[in-house]
Amino acid sequence: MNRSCYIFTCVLALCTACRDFPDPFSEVVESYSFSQEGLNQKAFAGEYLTDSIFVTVYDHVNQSYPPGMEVRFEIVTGDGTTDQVTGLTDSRGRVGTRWKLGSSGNEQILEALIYTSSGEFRSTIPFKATGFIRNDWNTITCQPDISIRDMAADSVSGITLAIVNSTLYKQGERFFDWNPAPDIPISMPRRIVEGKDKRLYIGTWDGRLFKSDNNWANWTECTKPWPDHSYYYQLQVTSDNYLWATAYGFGKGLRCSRDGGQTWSTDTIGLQAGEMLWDIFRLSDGTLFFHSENTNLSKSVDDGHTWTKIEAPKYPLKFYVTDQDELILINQINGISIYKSDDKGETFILKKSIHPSYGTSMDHTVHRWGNDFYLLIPGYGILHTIDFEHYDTFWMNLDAFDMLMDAHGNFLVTELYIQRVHYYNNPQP
Amino acid sequence: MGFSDFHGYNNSGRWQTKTGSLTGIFFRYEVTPVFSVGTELNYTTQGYCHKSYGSYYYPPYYQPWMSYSPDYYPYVYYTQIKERWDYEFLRVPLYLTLSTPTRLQLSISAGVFVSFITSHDYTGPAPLPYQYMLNSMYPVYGDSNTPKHDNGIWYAASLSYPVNDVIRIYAQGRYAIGHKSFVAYGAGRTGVSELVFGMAYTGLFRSGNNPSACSVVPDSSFAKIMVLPKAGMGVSWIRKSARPGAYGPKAGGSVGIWIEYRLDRTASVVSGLGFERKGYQLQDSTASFYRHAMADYPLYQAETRVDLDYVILPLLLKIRMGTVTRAYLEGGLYAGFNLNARVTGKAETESISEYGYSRRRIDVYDDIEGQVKNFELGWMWGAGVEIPMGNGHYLDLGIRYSLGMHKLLENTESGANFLSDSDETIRNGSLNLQLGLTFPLIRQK
Repeated sequence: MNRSCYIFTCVLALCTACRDFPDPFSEVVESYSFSQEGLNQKAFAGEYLTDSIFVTVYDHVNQSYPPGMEVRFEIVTGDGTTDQVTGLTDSRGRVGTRWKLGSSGNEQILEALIYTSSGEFRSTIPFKATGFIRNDWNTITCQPDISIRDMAADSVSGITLAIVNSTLYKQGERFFDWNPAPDIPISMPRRIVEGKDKRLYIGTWDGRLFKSDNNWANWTECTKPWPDHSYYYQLQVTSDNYLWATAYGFGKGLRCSRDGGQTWSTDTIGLQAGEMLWDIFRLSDGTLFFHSENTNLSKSVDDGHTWTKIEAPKYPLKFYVTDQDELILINQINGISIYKSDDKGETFILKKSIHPSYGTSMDHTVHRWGNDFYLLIPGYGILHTIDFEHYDTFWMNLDAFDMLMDAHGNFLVTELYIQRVHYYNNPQP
Repeated sequence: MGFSDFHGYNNSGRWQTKTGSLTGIFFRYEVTPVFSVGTELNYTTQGYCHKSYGSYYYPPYYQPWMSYSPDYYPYVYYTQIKERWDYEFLRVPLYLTLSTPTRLQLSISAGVFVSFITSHDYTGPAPLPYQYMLNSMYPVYGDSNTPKHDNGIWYAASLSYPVNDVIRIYAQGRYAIGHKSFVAYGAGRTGVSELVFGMAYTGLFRSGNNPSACSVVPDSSFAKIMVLPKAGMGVSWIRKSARPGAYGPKAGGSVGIWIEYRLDRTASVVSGLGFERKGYQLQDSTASFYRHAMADYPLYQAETRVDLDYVILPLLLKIRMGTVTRAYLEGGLYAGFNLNARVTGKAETESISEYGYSRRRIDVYDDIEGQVKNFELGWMWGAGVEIPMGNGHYLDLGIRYSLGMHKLLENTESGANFLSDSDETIRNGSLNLQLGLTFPLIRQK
């Protein structure tokens, strides 16, 4: 009996102790990659997108493009329609449909739901498109629009150029169409300015300067403002077609080219060291006003060779001169204040004060279309005026940052956080 | 022979048991027929083999407009990184032994050891067959700075039988765990289960008036000290979970030798040395294979089993009732020393995005000793009956319920900071039905 119990004990111990398991192993039993075609297209609301949208499925496990995968196209936002609601992938693993945008809203989303041939759900692929409403504001979150930083427009020829991520784009037929401009052989453009003589100048991130004389078709390289300077500089052009430039760095000063960028002279007398160009204007009598990044306002009566700092409302962010030699100064006193001088800068009179949601510098913020002026106040929106005496709020947006205008008077307003831009399709001819 | 048993903080992949050899000579001094002190000089070889998770590799995805052809890539291939560490030790243990004074003698021992390494070797992974994938095959752990010596703890249980007056043959099972970090860049300690067969010469320094072990005649009416070899089967589970529905019980078992010291005819103190397998099952959507946890990354749909092996040292008060067939109740504390912790089973995970979909099946085999606490203190309660078998022996049929007092998991796994809703408070519980025999050893004068 005792021996039996010992044997029983040993067998029991062995039974509980011994068990074999398979080696650790990880196997991908199903794996697909999805690719999309036709993303982020734009069209007028209620119209078909130019290109169909497509989904392509690749099966990693079987090393093939699987036919017969079911894809269902479902409209998520916007009231658009698709020509095909459900489709099967073809022998190239591809299935697509045409998408007609809905008539409401800007951002419209369609989802492609992917199922196996046996009907098991596998993934959802979103497609985004923007439907533009004519003669109204439109918001867009897609590239390249949200990265447009500078723009030059010729209202006569209707050509608009834009700088997007250091690349030149040309506006297409519709105001929201932007296409790369490989025919303009300029790399790393940073700043684009236009003279009264319709010459266009482009300054680059590496310190070079280009100009075009004939409808921006042919481009030639100008003399660099600083031969040894290989970084960007601030560039402006005055109504007399003089080019003005300043660059960061000791002793660089203010440089001026009076011959379309062929030669440059240093015109620093009277300016504080390190003054960087922000705005520069010539009055009809030849007086020049220079507004610096350091918020100083100086004037020159000898064609820009010597400068004198003038007394003006402090801390100006923007300076502008009308065709009637009215000086407009926008500073950061009492929120944002707009002053006007009718006596060539002798006195400035406060015309308007507003309180924006935040403060920053003001770049392309004053635009004229016909007899109307539009002032983009960062952190507030757009003020409209005809005479700089009376103002009305044209559009409010507390995140507004900068405003550009194309050759047809359409606005493009950027935001502080660079997530989206707003187009205004200007109904005025 | 010995069977290696890695102890460490690696919870990815399998540490495979490797067989090694063992030779040696031992010396044991019997203080009493029950109690003795022993030492030994032995030579042992131990091998530790790690297998990472094997998987099939697929060629990279290509797009139709890419210039190269998919034919350039080979078809899927299988890879699993295997590494092996081999050691040879000269080892000297020192241990205390409790033995039954019977002809077929059952002994249990516990003690410490020191060891000196005589040689060591490392074998890394084989290179991949494809040149462009060479960089993706690398050792998981690589070679280590091997210490020159080690020390640790030692447990043993043996059966011996006298061939004649001075020779006994032995069969012994024992378990040793090192203290220093040896394997894989210090990721783990050595451990080994050994099965030993040998002979003992018992005539050395033998005292003439020592009672022979096999000549003890127990008093059937009342014995002061009794030995109880017991084995049992039962279930184990976890308690104090924040998500109890994710866990389930699993079958367990226990085996041990208890020593009972009788205070009087009713009360006894019970202690001894036992081995118990505990654990639990997990069926959950979780970020971990062995507990419920959430994460921002895709979760596993896991169906796994956690096995936890413990050496158990109880200290119980036993109250006995009855005269012939006796019933008893017992209760007290136990100390548990974790020997092994392992999670095995199946898991599946899905990764879904707008760019792709993948579904992966996993055969889980992870050694999780580093994630389970080495020591556990708990309550142990029991009840049973003792049926007289004659000659002072009793058949013991009982049930024993144990509850761990401490949290089971260390929460030291890599990436624990990325887990949320992690079940960190789980504790052991087990219920075992046990069958044993009671041997009376020393009579009441």
